[in-house]
Amino acid sequence: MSNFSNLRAFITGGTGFIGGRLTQSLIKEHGAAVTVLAHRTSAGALRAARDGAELCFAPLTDESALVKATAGVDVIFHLAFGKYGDAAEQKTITIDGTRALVNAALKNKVKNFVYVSTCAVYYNKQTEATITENSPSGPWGWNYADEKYAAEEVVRAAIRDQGLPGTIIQVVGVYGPWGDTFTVGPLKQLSEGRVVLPNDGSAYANPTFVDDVVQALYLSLQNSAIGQTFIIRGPDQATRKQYYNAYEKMLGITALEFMPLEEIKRQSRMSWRGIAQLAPAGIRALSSSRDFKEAVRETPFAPMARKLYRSLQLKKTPSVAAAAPAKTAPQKPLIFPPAIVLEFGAAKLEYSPQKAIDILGYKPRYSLAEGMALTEEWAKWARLTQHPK
Amino acid sequence: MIGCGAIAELGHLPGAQVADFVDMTVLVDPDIQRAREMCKKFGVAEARSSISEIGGLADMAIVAVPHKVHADVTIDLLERGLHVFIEKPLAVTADEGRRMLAAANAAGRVLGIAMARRFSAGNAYAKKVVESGIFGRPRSFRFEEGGVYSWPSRVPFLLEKDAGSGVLIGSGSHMFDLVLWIFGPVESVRCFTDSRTKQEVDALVELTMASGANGVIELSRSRQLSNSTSIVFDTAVLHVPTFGPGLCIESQDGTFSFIGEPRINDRKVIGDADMAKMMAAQLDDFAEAVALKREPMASAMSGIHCIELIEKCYENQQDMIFPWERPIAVVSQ
Repeated sequence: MSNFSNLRAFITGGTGFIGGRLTQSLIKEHGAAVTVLAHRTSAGALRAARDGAELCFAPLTDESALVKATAGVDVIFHLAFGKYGDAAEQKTITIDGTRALVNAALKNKVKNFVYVSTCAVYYNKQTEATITENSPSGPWGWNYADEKYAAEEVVRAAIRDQGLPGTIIQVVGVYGPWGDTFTVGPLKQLSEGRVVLPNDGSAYANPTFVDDVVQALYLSLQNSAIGQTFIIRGPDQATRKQYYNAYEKMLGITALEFMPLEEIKRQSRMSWRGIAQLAPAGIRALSSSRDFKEAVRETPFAPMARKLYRSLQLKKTPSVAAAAPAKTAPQKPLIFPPAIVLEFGAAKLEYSPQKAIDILGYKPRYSLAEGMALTEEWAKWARLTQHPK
Repeated sequence: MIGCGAIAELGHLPGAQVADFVDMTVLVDPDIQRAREMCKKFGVAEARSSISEIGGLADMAIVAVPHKVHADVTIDLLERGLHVFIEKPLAVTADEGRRMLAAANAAGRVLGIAMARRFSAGNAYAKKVVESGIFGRPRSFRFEEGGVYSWPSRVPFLLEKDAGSGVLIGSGSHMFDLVLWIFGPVESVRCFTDSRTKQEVDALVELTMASGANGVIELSRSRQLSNSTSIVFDTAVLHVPTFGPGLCIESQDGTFSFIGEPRINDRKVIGDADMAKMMAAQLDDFAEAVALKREPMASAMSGIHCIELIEKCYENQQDMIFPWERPIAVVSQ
């Protein structure tokens, strides 16, 4: 089980956060032969190539290309989802792409097909619950979660009807080096504004350090994993407040605000004036985000966005110069959770990894303190802790 | 224009449109549709799919093709009697660079390199300040260039092995060129990279110059760096962006500073971050070099020195230490 040196793996999402760490670990620690699906020369693709992965350029929906690319492969780790293009394209990539990959896996008789999904599929408008793999799951209105659920259904059907040796790994709150949503995002938000958490911030963060997820992905190659679904979470629970406090500590600032859920909803229905106040800082923060730039570039708004960004750049202090402090420092803008996940993010949902512990031997190793300590070392190196004063 | 990829579309072709001494006559790309599209976009008359089809259409070629074919394409063009202005890096190896220079000399043609940052006012200003000695001797310097890689390459050549695809030879070419141009020869090098595969994404280079100054070059394709240069002199510290406007001069103790714009009495130097103007300036410089039979701003020899320095980096590279990367312990049931 611990010898992966002869493993031939095909990874979708290998240019991303979890998939990138898995790619690196498989190659550097075990000398495995890894092929990573890519759609362009991104920073993630460059890192995968640096680590020694073969890069396969094909759309996730191109079944014949996937059949060719996965010939002779032992295992497919499927982490990619529709992230670019419009909503319809994203849906197609996530769902039809999963179907194409499943068909390729079946044709090539791969030994393991591991699909990485999200615990968000279990949200059922509850405000408080302990979630296990037996909890009801399904679509609830957030495209990302709904499409991941639909893709899970594609995998489940193939397991049930076609004998796919598949496993579904559902992850939650994954943070760590290179993590966009739960690491780079909070650091940038806290740097740029006052981050609003619902109520008293006591909703659960279910923090999971990326290396614990990668451990689970290795463990999912066991026979006992086939046909099963596992929730993966870190060893300890933390509130969202504690989670964001860890990032505040890295930045050396205090930037959290707490508001009752209803007040957030009221304030989120912003006047145009409010949006105008938020836009410059928000766009500046987003414009340094790789995902945002990539997403904008692939839309018809790209020229307009470039123009707007340039106008905002002109208003900035020259980057090489230390500007004189303003006489009265402007209040940083409030940053609200996206409306679609507001109630989901406010719920006290405890995701239990007990099944993975019992069946796979999963041993989550990184407490929030340990995981954040490593994340901080990376964030400093990545220059993400140098927030504007 | 040989190669109609991203740098042609975003740099050389817009530059040629506003250049005084260059007329773009023919675009060449193996993907003839792409060449035709670019012809339409930039008002160029002729599109061709091969160098063998450009006879009589041009007397100078701008080459922007994958690094690993720089040498072969350039030598082919020189032997066909064209002057060649090549996108950086000159070549993947210094040996290739020397072959290219020999071919240029044999053909009696000019070979120059696109090093647009030399035309950026801040860098030109830094060179003037060093040469003038106005703040005393330069004691140390730091050059940083990096961002999360998002260049819209049409061909994924940076993902190929042994193709001159690491950051040292990529954006590093610009920084090494500036260091050699401003400070002169290098005495010794220490280099730290995130990979020994020559596909490094991050690199940090420590340099000791023959002049005695010490310096650092930090490069990244994964992180947003400051994209600026700082030079510590005997009596002041100069900060300039590696590209674009602005400068700051601080007293040594940091108690007072001047913030403004570099002014240089040289029409070739561009004070803002307008890429087309920058590319036009270097194209005009090259065309002028051809006409006046002089060296272009960035000569083939300077490109060879740059690659030699990069080769020294590779010979002396040590691993960057990333303490957050720990082995993944896997013990099954």
